[in-house]
Amino acid sequence: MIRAISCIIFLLVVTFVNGQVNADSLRSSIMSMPATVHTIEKMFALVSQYRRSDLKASRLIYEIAAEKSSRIGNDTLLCKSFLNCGVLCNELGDFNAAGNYLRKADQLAEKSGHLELQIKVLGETGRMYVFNDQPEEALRYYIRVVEKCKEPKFNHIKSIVLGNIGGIYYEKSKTENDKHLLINKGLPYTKESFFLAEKLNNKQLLINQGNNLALMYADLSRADSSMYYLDIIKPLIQKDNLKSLSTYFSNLGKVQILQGKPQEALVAYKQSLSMTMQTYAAYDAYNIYKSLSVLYEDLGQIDQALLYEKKAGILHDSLVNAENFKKLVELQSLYEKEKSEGQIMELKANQSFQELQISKQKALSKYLAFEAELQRNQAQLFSQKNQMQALEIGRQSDRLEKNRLQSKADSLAIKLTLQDNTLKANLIKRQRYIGFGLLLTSLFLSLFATGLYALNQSRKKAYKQLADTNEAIKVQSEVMRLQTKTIAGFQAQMSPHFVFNALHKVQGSILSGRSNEAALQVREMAGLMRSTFDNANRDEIPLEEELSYLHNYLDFEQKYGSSPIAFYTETFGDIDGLLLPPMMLQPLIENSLKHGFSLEVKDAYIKLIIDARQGEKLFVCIEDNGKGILKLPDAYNEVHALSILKSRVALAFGHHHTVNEEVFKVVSPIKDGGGTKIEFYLPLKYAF
Amino acid sequence: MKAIIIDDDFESIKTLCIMLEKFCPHVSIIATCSETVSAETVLAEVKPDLVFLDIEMPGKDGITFLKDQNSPEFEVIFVTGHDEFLLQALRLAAVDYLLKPVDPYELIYAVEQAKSRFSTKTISKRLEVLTENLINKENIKNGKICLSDADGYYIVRFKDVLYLEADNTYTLFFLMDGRQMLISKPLIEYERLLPEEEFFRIHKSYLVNMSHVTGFKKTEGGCVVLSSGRELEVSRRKKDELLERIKNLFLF
Repeated sequence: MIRAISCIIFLLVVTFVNGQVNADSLRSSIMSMPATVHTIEKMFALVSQYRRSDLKASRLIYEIAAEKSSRIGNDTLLCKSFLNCGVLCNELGDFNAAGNYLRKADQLAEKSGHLELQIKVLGETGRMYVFNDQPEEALRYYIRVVEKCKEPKFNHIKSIVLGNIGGIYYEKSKTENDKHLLINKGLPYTKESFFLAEKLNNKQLLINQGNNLALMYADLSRADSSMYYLDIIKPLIQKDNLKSLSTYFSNLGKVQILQGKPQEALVAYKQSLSMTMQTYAAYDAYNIYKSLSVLYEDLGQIDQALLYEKKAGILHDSLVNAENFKKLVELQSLYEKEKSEGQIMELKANQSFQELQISKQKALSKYLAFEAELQRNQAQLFSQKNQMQALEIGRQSDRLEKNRLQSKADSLAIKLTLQDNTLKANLIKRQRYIGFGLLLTSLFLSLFATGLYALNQSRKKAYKQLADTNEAIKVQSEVMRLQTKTIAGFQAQMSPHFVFNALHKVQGSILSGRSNEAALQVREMAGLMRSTFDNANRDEIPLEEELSYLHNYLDFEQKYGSSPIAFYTETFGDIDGLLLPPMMLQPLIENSLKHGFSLEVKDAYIKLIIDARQGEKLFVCIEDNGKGILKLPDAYNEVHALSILKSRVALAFGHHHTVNEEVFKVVSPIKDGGGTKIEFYLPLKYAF
Repeated sequence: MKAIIIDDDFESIKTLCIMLEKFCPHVSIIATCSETVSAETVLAEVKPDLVFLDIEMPGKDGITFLKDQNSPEFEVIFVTGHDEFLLQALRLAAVDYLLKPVDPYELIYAVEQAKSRFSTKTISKRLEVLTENLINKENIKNGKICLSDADGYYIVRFKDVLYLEADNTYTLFFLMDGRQMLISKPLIEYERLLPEEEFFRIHKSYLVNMSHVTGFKKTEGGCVVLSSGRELEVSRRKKDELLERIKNLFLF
């Protein structure tokens, strides 16, 4: 945590030193700091060190400090934060905010009974009202400060505040009618301040208050009292304390005028003027010019009086100008503030727009996921449909088989009846031969002949029926065979993906002027497509043919690619004349090739295992060391290919077979590194 | 070598021209025709050594066109797209053909064959086989096959073939009249070429004409007896299938 804090402090220091603070980054970095007493104090220490360089940032930090303090329920820290916020707001010209902060600070200090803090808060509030041209309010607060400062340890602040009160009365006296009354109201405060400063032995404070008292007495035309204080402070003022000296001399001038010593007053004023010039205190200079002008007028030196009056006029103009300029600057800063607020609004609007966009994208991604789900469902439906078809075919051929058996039984029955009839006829013949005379024989013979004829007719009829049934069965089975073939053919189609990809390759070769290569590609592609179409009409093809097809396919796909994928075959048992349903393996290899491998797979391979040693069944396994099916972003193709393969396995075994794990298995990933293994069985079939 | 191309598709002619220029520079195309009527006059005028002839054309197709020529004195290489039945017929008639898109290697090979052979005398015979097979689509039993060995061409009817025996990459034909012919193609080629309704592979080395099977002996592995009295060994694996076929043959 310490590290985090020091890191942030470093950041703050850098931002302060640069004088440019990105409020947002600052806020986010400070907000991330934990809310503890330690961090808040750190923040205070930091800001107090650098607050001069960036008031706004300092204010921001204090505001955050306030938030953190209130979160941990530390009233003292909260009060301090509010106090500083108020001071900074005041300096930034935001009186309303300053007032709010300071009032809150006051309440907190009162509540917690933290006297020192409350004194500070009240003092700052008074100062704020002075700034804000509300002397009555300022007085109210300053007097509260004085009331709180009973203990000697607050004497210093008490002295300052008392001086301020006196000053406020004096300032009021300038503009209001009852001049003397107001100065007389202020005098006791300034005097007390003076005595306290004396007690504290605070020279600067003493000098300031002495000067103030001298000025006040001078305005009351009490030259003696004024001179008394001037004499006290005179030895205390250092030579380089130009401001105090300037005030001293100007007060001295005033007193000397009162004492009727204009020449000396002139000297004093001129000295004050030279000091003032060195301190660039224009307002003081204006006052002195004015005083000098009046003095010269009294002395009858009108030209000098005019000169100083002119000087005063010019300075006044410039002061007014300065005032105007200040106002202008204020207005400008106000404008800037509004502008930046406008920008903030815009930013906020932007942000909300982006949020809208994000939510839109989220919706879109949801929609896409939904669509993918839909497609998956469709694929499933499709494979189910295939299975249904296979099942239907199975059922129909079952019926065919039954019919054939039935017809066979029928024919056997007919044969049997035939034999039976012959036997019976023979028996009858014999009986007749034995039992009856020759005369009757001819009659019976003719009867028998008729019977035989009828029998023959019925036999013929039965045969014809049988033949018809057989024909029907033949036709039906032919239809069935074609249907099966169509399905298989449909499933065995080369993916359009390949065709278009291949055409694209050819296009590239043509456009880049490699016509020989293009011709070669066309040749290879034609060969592949021809085999594809040929194979679609065949039930089985020899293993060598399938392998050479696969090799051609891989060659075509990989000849112009960068990193070839090794394809090798392992065969076990007797594979001479082995037959396979065509186009079963190509889609799997295509998928491996297209999606299975990322660039980082080294020694990429696709391995085909053909094992003919497992009795009635042929074991087939395709394995790769690619990413694995589950890791693929669009597993749809793979699933589609697999579902087709599955139904084709079912088709190869015939209808009775259920395709379970024993005959069809997908392992992916094989191990941690990925890889896909598809294992399935086919009926073991040979060409010879 | 003077050659003409007859094809209704102009682009197809162009492609073939380019390929010939590139791969068979010694073949010069002196004329091309996009229909058979003009081709007649061109043939008479030019007297080419070699004709590339498209089969599927509107009006008169390539095969009919060729049949109408009296004693043609040129070699023909058919050019065709993809029609399985036609291909089968072309193969049976042992005529030279090229498939679109044309494979450069096959083109070179076909032209070399035509150059070395000039066997114009047999072309009409082979065409006869071709047309007959095409017409007798339905009656496969009456089909014919054209066999060529070192000595020449022989036209053999399917029903006159007793059986075929594999001899490495060669195939030995055994005919009814006792003749034997050694052809330089592997047995599997004929297994695919001859109608499977008639011919059955009973063994790695034998493709047998079922019409000539007269019996089955169960001795040892089992063997079939042919009408000539010859007995052929049956592969253990094919025994059941063979018996099934024999049964069907005899029952109906």
